[in-house]
Amino acid sequence: MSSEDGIKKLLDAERTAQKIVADARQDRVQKLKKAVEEAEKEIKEFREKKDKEYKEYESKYLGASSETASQLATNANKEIDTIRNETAANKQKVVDLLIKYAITCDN
Amino acid sequence: MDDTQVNAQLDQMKNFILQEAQDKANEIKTKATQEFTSEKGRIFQNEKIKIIKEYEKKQKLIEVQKKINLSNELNKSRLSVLKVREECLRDVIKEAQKKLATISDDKDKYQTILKNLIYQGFVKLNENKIQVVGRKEDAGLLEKATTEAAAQYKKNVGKSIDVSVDKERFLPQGPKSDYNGPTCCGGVILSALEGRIICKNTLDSRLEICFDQLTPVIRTQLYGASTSRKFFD
Repeated sequence: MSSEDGIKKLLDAERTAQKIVADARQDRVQKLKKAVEEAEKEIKEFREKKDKEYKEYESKYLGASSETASQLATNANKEIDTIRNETAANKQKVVDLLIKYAITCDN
Repeated sequence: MDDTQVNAQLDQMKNFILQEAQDKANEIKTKATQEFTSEKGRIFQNEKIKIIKEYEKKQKLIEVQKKINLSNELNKSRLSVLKVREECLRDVIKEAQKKLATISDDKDKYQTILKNLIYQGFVKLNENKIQVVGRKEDAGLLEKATTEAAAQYKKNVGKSIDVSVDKERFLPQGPKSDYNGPTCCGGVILSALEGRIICKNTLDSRLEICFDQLTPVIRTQLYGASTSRKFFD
């Protein structure tokens, strides 16, 4: 076997070794890219989950607001009816009181 | 050294080179796996914190919005109640004005009222020369009432008073269903020092004053005592 063949054999081995390391490095780069992609995917899923929770919270909370508003309106209407009834019942008494004061002079 | 030995030596060297490369590659792969896990975790954690904060902020905004909405609704309902109360009070005063318009129908009673109003004006003004303005339809009653009031003033106060009833200027007429102009339910306006001092003693202005001063009493009479009121001074 000539020395040239031996050197060639070693150079081939060196090239193969370099390729093995280069491939490993390339895999590492790909793996880091994949890490970013997977993280983004998980982030997207997490955001969707949070968004769903938020929408449920919003509808529950603002739904309660509209219930409260209608309750307030009902109470106000009851109070208004009471005021109108009381005014009708006591109006004459008040009118008489006003007239009495208007035409009476403390001389 | 024969060929077999040389080949064996070369194979050993070749295997050593490849083994070294494999070890290096394995080391890189192990490190890559660790970096993959930590990098993925780091990116996710950072974003997760941001997202949580963002949604907490959004939730707080909803709570604030709810409080604002509730406050607005509460104000709206309170205002609607107050508006109706105000309408009812206006209704009461309208009713009182209608009734006040009938006071002058009973001439004897009305003349006594006129006399008292004029006398009160004399006392308030406390001047020697006074002019009285009344309604045109009260002209006859007014003359008599003025004379009686002047006599009462002299008797009670001990001073003579030069009083004249204005024959040119009059207060507006009493309210009528077919008339939309300015009206006056009765009473008088007295003036002294050539109109520089005025005492408005018309029934309308007195009713207005009564209404303003008696509003708390009226509210109590209409709706009962306030449940939220704490101080009565």
